[in-house]
Parts: sequence; structure tokens; C-alpha cells
Amino acid sequence: MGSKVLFIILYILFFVISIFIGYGILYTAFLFVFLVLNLVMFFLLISLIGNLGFYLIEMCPLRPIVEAMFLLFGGLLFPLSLLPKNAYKIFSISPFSMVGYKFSMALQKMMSVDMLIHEISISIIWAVIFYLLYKITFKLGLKRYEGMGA
Amino acid sequence: MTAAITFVLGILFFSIELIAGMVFFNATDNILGFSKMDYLLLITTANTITFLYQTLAISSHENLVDTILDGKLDYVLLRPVDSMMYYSLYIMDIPSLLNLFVALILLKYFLSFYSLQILQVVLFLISIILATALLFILNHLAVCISFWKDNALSILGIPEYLMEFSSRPYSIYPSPLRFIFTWIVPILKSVNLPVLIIKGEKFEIHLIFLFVLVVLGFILSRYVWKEGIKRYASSN
Repeated sequence: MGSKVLFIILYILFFVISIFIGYGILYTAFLFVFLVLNLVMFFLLISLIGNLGFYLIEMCPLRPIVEAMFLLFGGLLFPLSLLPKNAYKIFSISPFSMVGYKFSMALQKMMSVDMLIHEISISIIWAVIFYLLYKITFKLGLKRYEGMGA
Repeated sequence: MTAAITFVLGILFFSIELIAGMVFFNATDNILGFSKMDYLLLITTANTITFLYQTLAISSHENLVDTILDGKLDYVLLRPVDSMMYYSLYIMDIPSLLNLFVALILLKYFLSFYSLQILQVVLFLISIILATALLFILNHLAVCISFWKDNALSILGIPEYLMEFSSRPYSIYPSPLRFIFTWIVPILKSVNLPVLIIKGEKFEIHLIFLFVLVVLGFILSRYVWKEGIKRYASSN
């Protein structure tokens, strides 16, 4: 079991408790859907990046690059709302924003249920895009793959 | 290839911190006494300290854990030199040196926005060197734990986290944290100190305190190194 299991337990506890502290069952349900979809979407994004292993020899710098993008576009360094309007429009729908900034906003109940549904739809679109790209790159990648001792 | 990647990543994270600073100051002119230029100077100073430390000692410190565990420290210990300083400084990290050049150029650029006296510049440079020495001591103490514990990897990252924490204006932190990282592990005040000198704020006590602490820290590091070596087992 990974070392992050404590964080997962903490998150689940948070959701359970949130039902009793004013979120409302509907909001909590959508929040939970948003969390699960973000999890799936981000997993697919990282899997897609993993497929670069078919094409690149050196993969280790990708992790800090993804971390850097998460810091910048996920709203970890500053709230994305501080960005100029046009930049905000672009970056606020990035997958990093969905997982970081937008999800934090949702957790703070700074969204209505309608807004939450809108963010969920964006998350679904990203998940579908990443899934399709993953399938394509995996298929193409296999053609480049050379097995050892196979 | 690896060197180029290290250089690019160093610049990437440095740039992100600068971008974040610029974004903050799009929304406000002042963050608890720090203007936009003070903030950018602080970020650049913090990165200069980090890159200077990395240039001089990061390679050795990163390798020390494996060297101790593999029992390959013999050739360092046999030489008629100060083994601690020799081991810590004998490899220079070239990508970090290049990062340091970039940081120094930016530092010079940001300093050009202030009207400074020569004494301020000299004290600014001294405080950067002292802060680098403190970072060296913290890292050295962290890696020396490997003499006693096999699996101390989580401890090795602590100085890095502390450095990241300290590269923000000290005034944004609550007073208990400020007290701890000013008088007990003074990394926060040490990283902020060069900027305070440039801003013309009170710094004398902190500079003297930092100097004394660095001297004591080196004595402690040497003691820990000597005690650690007693536990070292060679593989030869």
C-alpha cells in the first residue's frame, strides 16, 4: 500500500463530514463525482505522458516538468483568478486547473451546483481526449517497441 | 544531456517563481512591506543562495549517503587534508554554476533599481555567503545522519523544503513560525536578510547572530562528521 493512503483516508473523511457542515447532499454528490472524474482524468494524462517512454530515452525530467506545470497552471503558486482575464480563460480550463484550482474552489463551496456541473463536463472532455490520445500513442508506440529476449 | 536537463529545470523553477511574483503584484502594490522589486529581489537572492550551495556541495552531499552505505569513503579519509571540507567541496556541479550565473545577472539587474551605498552591497554579499554557509551546514547535518541510519532519505529533503519556505517574505508568516525560523533555525531570516539590507531595514543583530551561528554550525558539523566517521565501516 502506498504512503499516500493516509491522505486518501483524510479526503474520504472530509467528504463524509462535509455532508453535515452545510454542503448539502446534492453538492457533496457532485463534488464526489468531480473528484472521481479528476482522478480518472489525471490518471489518463499521466498515462499518456508515460507513453512518451516509447519515443524518449530520458524520461526522468518529465516529472519535474509536470510538477512545474501543476504549480503554475494548477493554481498552487497563486490563485488563477489573479491572472489577466484572457489568460485566466485559457488556463482555468486546463487539466491542471481542474485538479488544483477549480477543485479547491469547489471544496470551498465557491461554486454553484450548475458551475460544478460545468467543471465536471470539462473534466469529462479532457478525460475523453486523454483516453483517445493514450490509445493512439500506445498503438503507435508498440510499433516502435523492441522486445528483449522475446 | 543530464547536465543540460539540470540547468533547464533549475531555470524553469526559478522562472516560475518570478512569474508568480509578477502575478501577485498585478493584484497589489505591496505585500506586508515588500514591493514588487523587493519580492523579485528576494526570489533571486534565494535562488542565488541555492545555486551557490548546489554549485559547491550538492554533488558531494547527494553522493555521501551511498558512499557511506557502500563503505567507499576510505580514499577521502586517507588523504592528508580536512576530510569533511575535502569531501564536501571536491565536486563542482556545473549546471548549477550556469544557473548561478543567470541568477547573478538577474540579481545585478534588480539591484540597479535601488540607490545603494558600497557598504550595503558588501554586507549584501556577505549575508548571501553566510546564508549559503547555513544552508550547507543544514544539508551537511542532514546527510551525516546516514552514518547512523540506513534509511534517512526523508530527512535529506528537509533543508530543501526549509529553503523553499524561506524564499518568501518573512512578514507573511505568523509570529511563532517567524520566531522559530529567525532564532532557532534562522534560515527564514537568513534568506530574507540580504533584501532587508538593501531595503535599509534593521539587520545588524541578525547579521551578527547569523555569523555566530554559522561558526557554531561549522564546529557542530565537524563534530558530527568526526563522530560519524567512528561508526563508518569500510568495504575494503
